[in-house]
Amino acid sequence: MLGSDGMPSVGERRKSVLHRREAWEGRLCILPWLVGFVVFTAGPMLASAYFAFTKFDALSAPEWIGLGNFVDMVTKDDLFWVSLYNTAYYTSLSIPLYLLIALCAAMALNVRYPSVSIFRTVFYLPSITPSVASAILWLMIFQPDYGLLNTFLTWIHLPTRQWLFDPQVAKLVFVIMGIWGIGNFMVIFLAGLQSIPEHLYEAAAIDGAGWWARLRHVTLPMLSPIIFFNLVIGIIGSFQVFTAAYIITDGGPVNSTLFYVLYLWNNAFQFFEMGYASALAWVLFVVVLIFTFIQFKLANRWVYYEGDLRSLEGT
Amino acid sequence: MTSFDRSPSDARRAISRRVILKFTGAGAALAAASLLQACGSTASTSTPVPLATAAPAAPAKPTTAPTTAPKATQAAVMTTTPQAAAQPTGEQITLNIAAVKVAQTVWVDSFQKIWGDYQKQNPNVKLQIEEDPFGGFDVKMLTAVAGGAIFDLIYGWGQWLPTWSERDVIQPLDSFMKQDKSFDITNYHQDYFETWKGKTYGIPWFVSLLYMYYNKSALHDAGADDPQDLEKQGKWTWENARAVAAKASKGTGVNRVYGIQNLIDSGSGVILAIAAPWAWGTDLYSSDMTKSLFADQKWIDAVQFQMDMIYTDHSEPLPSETKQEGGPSFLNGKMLMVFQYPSFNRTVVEGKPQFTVAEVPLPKGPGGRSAPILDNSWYFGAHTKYPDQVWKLNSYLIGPHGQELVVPLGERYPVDKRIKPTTEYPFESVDVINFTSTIGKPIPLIKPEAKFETAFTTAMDAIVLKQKTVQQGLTDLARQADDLLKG
Repeated sequence: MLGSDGMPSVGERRKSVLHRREAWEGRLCILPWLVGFVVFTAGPMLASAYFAFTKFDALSAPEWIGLGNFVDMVTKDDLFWVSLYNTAYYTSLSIPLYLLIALCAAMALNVRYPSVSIFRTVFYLPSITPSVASAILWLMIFQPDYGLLNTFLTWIHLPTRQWLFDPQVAKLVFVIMGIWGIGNFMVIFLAGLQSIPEHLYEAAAIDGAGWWARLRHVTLPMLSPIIFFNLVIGIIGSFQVFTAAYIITDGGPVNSTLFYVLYLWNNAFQFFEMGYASALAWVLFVVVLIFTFIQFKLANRWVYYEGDLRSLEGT
Repeated sequence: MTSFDRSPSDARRAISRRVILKFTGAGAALAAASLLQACGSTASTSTPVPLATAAPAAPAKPTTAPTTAPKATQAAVMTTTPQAAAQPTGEQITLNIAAVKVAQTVWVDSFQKIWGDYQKQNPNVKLQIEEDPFGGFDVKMLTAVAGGAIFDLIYGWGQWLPTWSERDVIQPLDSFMKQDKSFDITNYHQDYFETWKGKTYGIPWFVSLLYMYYNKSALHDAGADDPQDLEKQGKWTWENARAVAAKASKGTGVNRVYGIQNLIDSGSGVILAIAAPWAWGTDLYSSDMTKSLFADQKWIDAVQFQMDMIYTDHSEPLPSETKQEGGPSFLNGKMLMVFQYPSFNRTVVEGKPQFTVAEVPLPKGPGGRSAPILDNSWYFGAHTKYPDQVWKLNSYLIGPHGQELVVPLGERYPVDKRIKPTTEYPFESVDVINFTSTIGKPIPLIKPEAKFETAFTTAMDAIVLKQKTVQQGLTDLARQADDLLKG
């Protein structure tokens, strides 16, 4: 509002000054985070993008080799393909399995009875257990010589296996181990389930829908954004599987658990091929980006957003 | 009331609060900036530990970590005492020492004394110890030095030497040895010095040699020959060791008791497996280090011999069955003969086995008899500002007083000839230690040690799991090793 002299009123001027001050104070407050982001995230990312095109051992000056690392990766490095295959195998088996189990667990826990919160806590607990501790725990189960599983199998007169030390099944064991950590997925599913309006179920029940029909036509469509979120996050996470393999098998036996990030880590911190490791990291980034892009494209076909115009058009 | 409706005095109060907030924000930002600067500075890559709580140095290789001290040593070591505290001379300096962290109380106590005595003798020198676990210690040093950290003295292990020297983490000692007139090289076993490309980087302050420990009671109960008797008769060969192992193995499934440890892949990689090809008269590389020897018939025979013990005799477990638990398998009576370095002594004592333990040198093979040596030296930081002081400290560590304290800790064989080997437990034998020292042989080193170790382990896994034949696996390994040698 202008004053009688055509200038902003005192109130307006005061407001403007206050807005500027608040803006500066806001900037000041985010400055630590901004500095941290630039120094510890954006900086290393840009640096790794540069190193990907160099031969660099982290101790001497990087030497520019253009696309050399990428060409070597694709044409000469068998372990690159092995690690990519191992990771793809793990992802393709683990993510559908984890989502299914997490959804089932969430539905089982989405009921009202007094002790349900205890069960929810129990199911979620493994997710916050340190990964090193859980890896050692699983090792005690799958250790071929005196692990719990083989001891049990021997006890009931069933054949034992080498599990983590058998190249044929080692990856599968890692998939099984990962089930323990479905708590995060489960909690998100649970939140999604609880946000589905009760009247939809009531309406479906009035129309004669049974359990399966309610699940198929109410629960799953309403939960589809949550499933999509878990799918995207899960795939990104599964491409970065590392800790358990690093601790338990170190990529063995015979590279059967050499997952991509473990191989990347080996190159960076065992072989000190930082340039090559950076190239591997950027390839992983591109692969994940492509997968995520495809998922977003496909999401239009099956994810239902309540009130979303596209969803309404599709109905 | 909104802030715009306030009276001037209210506004002043409001502004006043904002000013306070502004300064608080600025202060917080400055503090955060300082923190970031500190985090990013090279000086903070290490976390110096006060001497009083420092636990430097470690045995030759990662072992289980008993927590109680052994009985007082009856070692026949030199009994020199530290000199009286010297007067402060020159400037006050701090030496940064990167040491491997250990859990064993006896090591912690001994090294506090070692460092403490040195500081008493040299009041102008402060020793600042940074400890890190053995696993990943080599990488930590490489990254820390790359980040600008300066260490004056660094705990060393032979396998790390090539990479550290090539990457300017450490420096050679030749000029120091030459310049110091009081240093008499003839006092030391020079064969055990750690060298790379003709330069000496480490004078071991103790040496570990590989022995065989065995369950005397179980072999006796099984009616098998006793390895010590065979040794006395000159019949302690791999063939006879195989016969003993086969006779003593029994049981099935998870209850199987194996006669002997799988040597070619026990999870320890080259440092153990090397004993097999050496016994068959071959090595990792040609003497001029230009070609690998894995494709040789002797290598094939050595590995095939181990494979026969696994699959024909069933006297050796699959690698998977010992990978994580070689020591405990021996202690719980599930493996009767194991290959171990002397740091295992204390593990045995702590494990309180319900059987008689004995030790013998490694069996003789068709090509002779050798025992791998693991050296533990202190390396000089490449960028130390006080090289003379570091040399002085190192001389103290490898000298009589340092040796007097470290040799009884378990690794047993002193590099200083003036100090006699020592035993502490009933199953140890000075004769075995002395004999093994005569067949001791350093493991050949190459620069991409990590890559080689990975290739070696993978190849042995593939062979032992029968994914490849012995010949095929070793031929592939030879090709990879040759590529690594070419750099």
